[in-house]
Amino acid sequence: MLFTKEEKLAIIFIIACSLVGAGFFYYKRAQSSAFEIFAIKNIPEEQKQVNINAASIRELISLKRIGPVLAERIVLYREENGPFQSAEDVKRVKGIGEHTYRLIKKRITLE
Amino acid sequence: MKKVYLLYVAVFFALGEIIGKSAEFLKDRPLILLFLGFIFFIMLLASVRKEPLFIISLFALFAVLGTMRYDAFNATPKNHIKNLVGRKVILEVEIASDPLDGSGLKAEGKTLILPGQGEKQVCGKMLVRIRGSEKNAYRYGDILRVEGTLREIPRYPLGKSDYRKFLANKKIYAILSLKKESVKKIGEVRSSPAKFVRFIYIVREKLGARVRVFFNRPYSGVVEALFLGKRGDLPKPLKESLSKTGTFHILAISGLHVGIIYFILRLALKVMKVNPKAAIILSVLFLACYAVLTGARPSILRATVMFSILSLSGLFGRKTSVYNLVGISALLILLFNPNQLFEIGFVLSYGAVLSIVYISPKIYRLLGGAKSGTVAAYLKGAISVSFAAWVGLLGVVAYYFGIIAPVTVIANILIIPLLFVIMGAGILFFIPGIFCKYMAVIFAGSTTFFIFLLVKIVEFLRNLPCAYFNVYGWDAKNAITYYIMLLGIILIFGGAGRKRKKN
Repeated sequence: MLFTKEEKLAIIFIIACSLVGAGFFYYKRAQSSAFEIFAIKNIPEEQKQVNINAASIRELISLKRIGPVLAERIVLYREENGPFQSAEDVKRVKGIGEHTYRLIKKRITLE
Repeated sequence: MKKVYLLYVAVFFALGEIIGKSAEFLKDRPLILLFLGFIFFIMLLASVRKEPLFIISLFALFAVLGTMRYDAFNATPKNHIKNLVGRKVILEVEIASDPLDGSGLKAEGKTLILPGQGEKQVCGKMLVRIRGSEKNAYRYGDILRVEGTLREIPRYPLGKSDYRKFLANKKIYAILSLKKESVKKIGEVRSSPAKFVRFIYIVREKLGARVRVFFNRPYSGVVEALFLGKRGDLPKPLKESLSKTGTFHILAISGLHVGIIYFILRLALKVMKVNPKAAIILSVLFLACYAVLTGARPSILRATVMFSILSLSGLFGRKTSVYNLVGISALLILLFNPNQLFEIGFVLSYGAVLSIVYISPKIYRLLGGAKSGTVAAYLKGAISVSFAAWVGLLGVVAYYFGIIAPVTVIANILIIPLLFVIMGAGILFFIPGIFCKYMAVIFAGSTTFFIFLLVKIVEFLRNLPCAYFNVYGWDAKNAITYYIMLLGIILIFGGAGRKRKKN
């Protein structure tokens, strides 16, 4: 026998992958939107709105000047005092002053 | 009993660790443990001719060793970083992780600089966040001088626990948030192990860059997760679908992937007519390097140790028992890092293997006869393995993740063969593709197509009626009750299957 069973298996697999790959390559050239999975929205992280009444600590950390400590304080404030009634209420959280509020106000929302 | 003695040793060692974690009175009291160990050792010597007592003493001794190991591993000396939390510090630290891993930069404290008073040796790991710095600005093994305030890890929820406890299990108790200007590289670690790990991480970075050249998003994220263990770029909708169908282990590089790579590697070495003994040694070395490259998670370590021992036992002409393989791999991992026992990855990894090994033969017997080598026999085998893994992990998954996904059984049967094909196509991209750009393009195309199929199958399964149920109220009591019932069912029906086989 020229090839063993394993060698035949390997050859068949390599040829099959090459044919599938070549087919994919030419089909994609013809139809560029083919094989798209999930609409990848290229919204930069810095522009996404953050709901300060529902955001997790991880989401809050994406705000400028808000690190893990301030994020935790926001969540604790929410738990103790209920949801924020206005964006400016976030200044009541210890460590968030006027300057930090001005940096984050365009990205925070209440809904 | 002889066939599974290493498994029992590992179980008792683990039990000892659990006692060490829960028994407050044993903390920092090594003399009590030494005394207990001495008592059991004397009992062992006295019972050499009385097997039941000998075995009890032996296992009790391993339990004490487990407690001692846990205690010793988790003891924090006075100069640990943990004792500096809340203070502003100037430290020399060594980077102890891959900065591009996506799971946060970890550093090991080396020296505390006290201005005007000299230096003091410190130890312990911390999480480091450097604002304004590129991720690839530093590498594993770099020594940095940093100035900042050490803070406690925030307590945000993470599964059944919180982030602080999660990191405490990894012996990380503090976080250092720094501006780029407060960090200065002052050197690098020059030891051979550090250079080797650094080299592996550079290889990982280069392979990741190559993937991003030839694959579009989100396929590049999937390939990096499957082959390099980097999950940072996985699309959220895919992660969610995989969680809901109970197939997240497909993309969380695990023993399954190591097994597939091992199988392909041995096949390739056989085709290349490599000497069988050399093939075994090459496979073991490759698996060890691959474990480091992919982040050395418990499931990868388990599979690497198991396949290495399996290969080496073949080299020495020794037979192996799966239970002993599981036992020895667990024991080695727990000796090295006892805290792994309390990580969900460890529990799921070993739970899956033991469920498959113990339960699937019983289900196979219950499913009736099928001629060997036929499609029916293959399906019977696949159903019994998939069902065994699902039923064995159901209690743990429901407890940790609040979900029960019956669709997992079908999902595994469909997806795992496809995973073999994806891994094979991906290996063709990484290896032959390195030498020829056109081959890289072709094999990237085939890998992309197979991943596309995988995603479509997962989405289809997720939308089936009764694919999954949320069970957020599932607590430890429910999990224990479930496993007691499961054991009862296995003992009743497993016995019935054996009787049918005899008849």
